[in-house]
Amino acid sequence: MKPHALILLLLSACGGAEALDASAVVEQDSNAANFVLSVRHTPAVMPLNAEFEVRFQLLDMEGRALDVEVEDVSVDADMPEHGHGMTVFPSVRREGSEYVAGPMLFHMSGRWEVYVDVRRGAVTERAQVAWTLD
Amino acid sequence: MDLGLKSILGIALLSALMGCQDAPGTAVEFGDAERKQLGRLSPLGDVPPDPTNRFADDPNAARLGHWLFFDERLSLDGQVSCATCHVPTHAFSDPKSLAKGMGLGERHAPSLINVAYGRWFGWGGRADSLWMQALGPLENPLELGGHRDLIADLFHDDPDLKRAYETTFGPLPNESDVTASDEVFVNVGKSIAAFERLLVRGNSRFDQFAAALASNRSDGIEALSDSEQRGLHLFLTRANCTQCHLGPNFTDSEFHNTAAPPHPEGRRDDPGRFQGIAHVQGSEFKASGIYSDDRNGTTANRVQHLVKSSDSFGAFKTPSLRNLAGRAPFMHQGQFEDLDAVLHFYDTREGASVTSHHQEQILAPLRLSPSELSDLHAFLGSLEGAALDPSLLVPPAGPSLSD
Ligand code: HEC
Ligand code: HEC
Ligand SMILES: [Cu+2]
Repeated sequence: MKPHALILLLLSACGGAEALDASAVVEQDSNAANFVLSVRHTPAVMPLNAEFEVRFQLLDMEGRALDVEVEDVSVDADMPEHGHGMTVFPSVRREGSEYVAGPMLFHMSGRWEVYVDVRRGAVTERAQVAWTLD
Repeated sequence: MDLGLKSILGIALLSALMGCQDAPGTAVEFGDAERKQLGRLSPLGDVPPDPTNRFADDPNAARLGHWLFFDERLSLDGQVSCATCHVPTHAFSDPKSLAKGMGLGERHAPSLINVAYGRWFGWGGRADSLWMQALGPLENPLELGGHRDLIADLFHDDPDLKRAYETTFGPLPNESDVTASDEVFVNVGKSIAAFERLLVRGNSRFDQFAAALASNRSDGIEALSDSEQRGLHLFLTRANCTQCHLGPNFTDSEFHNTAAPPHPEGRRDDPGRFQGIAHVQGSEFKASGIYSDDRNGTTANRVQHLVKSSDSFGAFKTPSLRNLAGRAPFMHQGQFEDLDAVLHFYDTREGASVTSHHQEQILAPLRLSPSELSDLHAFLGSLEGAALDPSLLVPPAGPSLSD
């Protein structure tokens, strides 16, 4: 083990330190593997019961920006174990190479799944990532 | 390993150990997960700002609102005021189950203590601001049954009211002006809201305990008895209460279907949040409307983004659990006479209303032992905040601070 890894481990021994790095990026293939959802964690830790925005990029399988209009991208989130979704629906806007969805609101702790649906012609394809708020 | 690295490791180890240290003398162990939750529940903190009401923290407005809260002349028959149902000595709630003003209502009048911490107002969240909320009962035929034209007349006819109004809002609009009574009406709402923002009770014994635990001080731990500490631990863990009763005011300010059995005289099919959304989005007094002082703010944006779905049918706002003493009965129809009845319902789910389609899947019977139930009950009793200034419980000498 590298020494600095050891220090990190010790510091987080109480579990109090938030594990996620502000610049953490999660990449996830869409369900039919036709595009990649790349989500940036901003804020690093999803706030409980406070509004936030989620930033992501959509890439093709070669890693280039996906050719899709912002109107054809929609975002939603659910708590599958609780059988309910969010109380608000986010709008999606474009900022440069990123899409920004908000307001998002996770009003309960537990596992949330975030869905990004991309419509291309008659086909809508979904990519999803899950976050657990404790 | 060189010396420098060793000392870094030493410090890291030491601080890790210190961070893990148990606060001395708790009756049950509060682990990291519980401590994290405690940090979200306490302290209550300041009342959040309300940018939709630029008079929200204006003392003159609050004084006028204080007066109006008790003023029965605002009602149709001159006998009903806000205080008729929100009884000051009953934690500004109603000892009756279903509210009775000019007529018998369909819901229970909730407590107004700490109401300004909310995101939505009314059991179904029919209003997105306190001032918008206040306008509802003034004209509701079952509550005060008044009318904005008559209210504007009252301000023109009573020199004390006129003076108080003009101190805060400027000249009373001319009655021939078509928007005059709307303007006065809105400012009445904003004044009453400014008063309601003063009804705050925090710093309970629970908060003293939480502060002590957070700083690993033994001093303050004794604020909760052993039974109350066990009850708190249950509240945070097995009883699952913080799924909904979370945040500094012990509510998520959102809506859930607990399927509480209806009151014998109450409605069985109250749409709850479903209707609340339609109401707030359709109102001229919402946060994005022309009378709001923050038409493009967070609240205005939130209202536009509400999900309209049948999931919200029969869902009601999670009430705060601070200051439960002296405000029974409980729930949106006052269907539970006391706290034991509420806890019995969560424990057994007995009588859960079968007509609701969307009850929360997370509400399963808890099956606690009698001693666990009494611990939980004891803990809820530790959430009583410091008493209100007694002058807030009675009408002031006059509508102006100089009276
Ligand atoms: C006839 C009894 C009655 C009168 C009079 C009355 N209220 Fe209420 N109040 C209620 C009831 C019932 C509710 C719940 C309404 C709902 O769910 O839509 C309520 C809800 C509220 C709420 C929302 C509290 C929360 O936690 O969401 C506020 C604030 C409030 N009333 C303030 C007032 C003010 C200010 C007045 C005077 C202008 C007033 N009320 C007059 C019965 C009354
Ligand atoms: C699924 C969300 C949820 C959970 C979990 C939950 N509550 Fe509630 N609670 C509510 C809602 C919503 C209401 C109001 C229901 C109504 O009026 O029909 C409520 C009402 C109450 C009331 C009545 C307060 C009043 O002013 O009327 C008490 C007391 C209470 N809950 C305590 C608890 C305790 C203790 C637990 C844990 C055993 C708990 N709750 C778990 C959502 C929840
Ligand atoms: Cu949930």
